[in-house]
Amino acid sequence: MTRKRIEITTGFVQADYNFWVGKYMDKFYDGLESKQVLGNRCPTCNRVFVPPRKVCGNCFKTIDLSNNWVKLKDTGTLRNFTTTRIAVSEAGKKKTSEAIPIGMVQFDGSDTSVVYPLLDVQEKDLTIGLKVQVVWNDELKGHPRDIKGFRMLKGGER
Amino acid sequence: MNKVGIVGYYQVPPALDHNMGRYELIFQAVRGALDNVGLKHKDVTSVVSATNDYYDGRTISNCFTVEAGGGYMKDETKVEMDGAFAVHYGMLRALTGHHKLVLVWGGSMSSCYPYSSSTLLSTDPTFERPLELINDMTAGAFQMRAYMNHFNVSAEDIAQVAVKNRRNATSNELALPESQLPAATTEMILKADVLSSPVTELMYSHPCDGAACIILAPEQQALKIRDDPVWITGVGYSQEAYYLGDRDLTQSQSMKNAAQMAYKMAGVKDPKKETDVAEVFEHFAHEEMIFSEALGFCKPGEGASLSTEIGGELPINPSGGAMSGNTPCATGMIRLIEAAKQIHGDASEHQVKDVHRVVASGQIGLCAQNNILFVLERGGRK
Amino acid sequence: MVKLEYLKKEYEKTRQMPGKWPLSSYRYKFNITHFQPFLKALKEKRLIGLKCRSCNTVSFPPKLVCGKCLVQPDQWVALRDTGMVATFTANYMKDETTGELQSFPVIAIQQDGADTTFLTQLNPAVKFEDVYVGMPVKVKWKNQPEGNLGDIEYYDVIDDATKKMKLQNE
Repeated sequence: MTRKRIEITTGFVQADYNFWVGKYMDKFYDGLESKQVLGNRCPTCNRVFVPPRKVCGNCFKTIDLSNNWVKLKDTGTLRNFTTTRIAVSEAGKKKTSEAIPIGMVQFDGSDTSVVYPLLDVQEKDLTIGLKVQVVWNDELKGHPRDIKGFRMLKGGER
Repeated sequence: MNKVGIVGYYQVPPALDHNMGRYELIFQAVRGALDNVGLKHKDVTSVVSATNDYYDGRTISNCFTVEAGGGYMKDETKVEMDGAFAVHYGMLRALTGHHKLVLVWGGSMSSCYPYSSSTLLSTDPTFERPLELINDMTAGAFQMRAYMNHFNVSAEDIAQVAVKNRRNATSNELALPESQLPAATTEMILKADVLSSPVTELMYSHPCDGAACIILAPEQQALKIRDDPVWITGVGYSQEAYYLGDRDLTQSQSMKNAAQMAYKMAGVKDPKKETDVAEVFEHFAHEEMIFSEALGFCKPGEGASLSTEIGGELPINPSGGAMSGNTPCATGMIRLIEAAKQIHGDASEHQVKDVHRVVASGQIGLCAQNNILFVLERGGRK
Repeated sequence: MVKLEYLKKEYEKTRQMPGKWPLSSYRYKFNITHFQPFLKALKEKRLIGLKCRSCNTVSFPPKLVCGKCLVQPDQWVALRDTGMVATFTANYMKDETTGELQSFPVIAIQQDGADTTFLTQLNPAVKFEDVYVGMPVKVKWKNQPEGNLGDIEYYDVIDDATKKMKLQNE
């Protein structure tokens, strides 16, 4: 007995949402709007977190909102990188025409890394441990994309 | 202390796109498990299901599968993680003394939705999601590069794991046909399509459709059903921080914690000598090496030095592991089923000789954030 | 904007991060093997139900798995085209512009010979106030049946013979 199945692709159903980012991220984005990267420090274990946290997981204590902020430089170290051609939002379905390398960057003075695109560079020239610097977007809106990406620092550039 | 034994199991053969609906798939798994052991549906007192709303395309997805999953008028509940975690929950229910027979099933159909986009939706909506850069493939690529760079392991060593698993899958009649490569070579693995450098398509466990079911019973009841139940003597469970940037991706601290808990409970002092087989859920080829180091089988960074084929000193994944078919929500449970088969001697062509103790693991989350480890033993041995 | 007066606490508002959660890229797969004889009979203006051999429950529309017995039922039985209203309610819709209130009765019908009910509609001319539990109804077929559940256009009300019966006094 051959079995048939009915496939139904639903109509265009999409739930739009609007998350409140919270007071800690709000301050972080305020900093991004003025081209300043902020992190916050746990007073018990002295770890500096980027993006900032309310609770330090290791110590299980809240980090007070009004102080413990650390202003970080806009340079960092490349901790990891990869390049992918498959568009992340619909992986497996379509391939983007260009493959931009993305990397995990640890800001100088912080203990955690963030994931952002790496600009103007080919994967073959990348090694872990390179120095990088933030490239700001032309329009600053208090959004993660205010940081357009990171560029490689050449030689003795500061 | 009371023990819990695995008395029955069944796995529906996976396929990339099954010609079946969801309820039929689940019914086959549950009915198959009950019929295999000759148990009746009316004796089952508790049902634990492992599915995920996003993978099923509807919320409260277990309310629809009550009848097909054997939960009609029974104590039924749902675990929204991997199948191995559902077995843990089922085990806890059996240990309370109130449940004589617990049925655990899990499975989903990954042909119905783009699997990797659901992992993008698990990222932080206030910071990471708007950038759309992280999903399970890019996270796995970060982990592989960190591991390779820190311990100076070459891509060929990691590809060797994929070769071994895909060759083992050919001896497993319940493996995905597309995953079986009897003549795999490291060159073939490295030259495949790059998903996210350096991970290639053949190093990745591709999601597919399938379901599986396990039946658990406490000690007294298990011995009444069959002479040789597989005893669960140790369980360990741990998880790491969420942000990829917070974690040390070169090792799996959560798997180490889970292994410590499980070995202590089972009384295992020297894991490498006392374990006969390991069935780990590896989402990528390099995760198998990271896990074998975390489980204490070799020193950190020396995952490549262990001989893990079926005739080797410590066979890992004789069934092909998750590369032989990764059915989201059921893969961890299938690792337990394969471990139980090895102990019973039912693994036909991929059977390892003289098996007494097996460890089986499950994971969930980006880069194995949550890990669970089971120690299974043959009956009659202290 | 609706004023929420019961929220006493003052919330300090922060930024918002908009996004989309696509629920539509799902491709549902259904088994229709057990439906085929049922749809074929609907096209011929007949009703059939599916009976489970172990517990004798007849389901209309047919079920894939019988929950009580954990088997797939496979015996088809013919059903009469009459049934009764098992329960009912009304949907109220308010027209945004005119403010007019419209009501649509929604009923659950149990076919004679079946043990399950399903939701459907009555003849549009029937008023909601006249509907009661136990009201006998009959199928009104579509003119050109196509072989799906929409071939039952609606249900007509028929004479209730029980109203004329008198209880026997002891």
